Amino acid sequence: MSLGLPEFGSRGPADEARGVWRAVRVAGFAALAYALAVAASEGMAGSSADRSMQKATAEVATLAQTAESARRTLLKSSDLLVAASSVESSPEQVMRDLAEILPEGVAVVSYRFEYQPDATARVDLGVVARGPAAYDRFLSALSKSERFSDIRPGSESRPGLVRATVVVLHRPKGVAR
Amino acid sequence: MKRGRGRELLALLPWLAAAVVWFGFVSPMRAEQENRLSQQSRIRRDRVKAERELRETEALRARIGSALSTVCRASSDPAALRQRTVAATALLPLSPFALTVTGGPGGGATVDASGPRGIALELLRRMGDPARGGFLRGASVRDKGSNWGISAATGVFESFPGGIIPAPRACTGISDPSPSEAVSPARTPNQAAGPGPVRRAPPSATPPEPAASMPAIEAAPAPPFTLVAFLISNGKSRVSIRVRDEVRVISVGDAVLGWKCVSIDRDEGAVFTTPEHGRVVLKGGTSER
Repeated sequence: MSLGLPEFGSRGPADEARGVWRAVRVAGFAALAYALAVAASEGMAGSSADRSMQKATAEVATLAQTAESARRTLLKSSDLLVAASSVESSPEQVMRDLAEILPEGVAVVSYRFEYQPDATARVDLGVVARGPAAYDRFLSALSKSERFSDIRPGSESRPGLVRATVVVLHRPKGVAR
Repeated sequence: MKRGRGRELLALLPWLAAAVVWFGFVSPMRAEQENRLSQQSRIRRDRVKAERELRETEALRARIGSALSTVCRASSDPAALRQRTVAATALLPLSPFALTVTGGPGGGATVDASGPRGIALELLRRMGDPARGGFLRGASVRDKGSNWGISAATGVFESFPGGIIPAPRACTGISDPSPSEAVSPARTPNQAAGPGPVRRAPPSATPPEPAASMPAIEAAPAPPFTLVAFLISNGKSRVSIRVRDEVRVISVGDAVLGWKCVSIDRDEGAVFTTPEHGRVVLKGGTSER
């Protein structure tokens, strides 16, 4: 029953709204603080990463320049590369390496050595084999050998004696594959 | 009413600021972080590649240093090249023998020769020996039954750019092959076809006997030089002779120690005359007075 006096003890709708907005504002400040903290942390991390990356880039650039310069110097001296290859893969040495793997019934009747400016020795072999089986054994032995790589069999004439050409790269002892 | 709206705006302001910070700074920085990771990966790849190239180059330099440890510096002058190549054939009975030389940078000699297997391989070895100032650019070897035919192109060590190997000493003249290098057909029988190691004559305590086909001078007084080989260059006949430790290539009209060359013919021989001793004919195996 109303006595016509104001009701001081109960909250009106305006007070409730004010409380809600205050909570929203406090949560907003918290979100802003979190965003600022994350931004600061990531900014510092990014800046540090940028500095170390710039340093690494400069180091790699120096390294690449050194490698390129050394490579160019070598390429300018192509005769030295050819000469080194001709010493390491001398005709004698290639023939000796071939003799170690040559199967029975196969003979090498011609050799052509080309010493390349990348320090490799390309050898064209003229081969005569007693039959296809012997020739296949020769190719198999060549491919298993550590001294020869990049084996490219060329033309063959059959039947009877197999006359064939094979192109190989000779790899001197101690040179990585 | 206005007061209420102001309060709402005030409450939303920190959210707005947070959104600006997040989308204006944090999100771009995170996107940048992804770029950074891909850049780091690229840098890592570049580093590995550069290190590998450097390693390979160093290995190649080491190979060159090791292979050419005995190298000496020679002249690419055509006459020197010819003399050097002719000297490499000393004591090697090769027939036929054809020589072409090209002087200047990138120059060298081209040799076509035929002989027993061991002899042919010995010639290749000598021509590709860095200690003699030369190297092989390419060679072909063909089994011709009793003989082996070889064709080789050589280069000469004249300059050493880039300091890849320390500049070597100059080659000291054209030296005779040592007794252990001397190969004669009698000592190195023609081996069967097929590859195999080259057999060299063992070192002998006594001086090596002259090869059967080596030029000999029977008549006295002998000229102070010996015949090494007949050459044809640009269609002109020449002859190489050994004077003491030196091999010279001479043509008709040239004089050596007072002996004048008056004619050169592969079949008839090289004829030398001197006012004191008369006429001497040097042939590949005999001489006539």
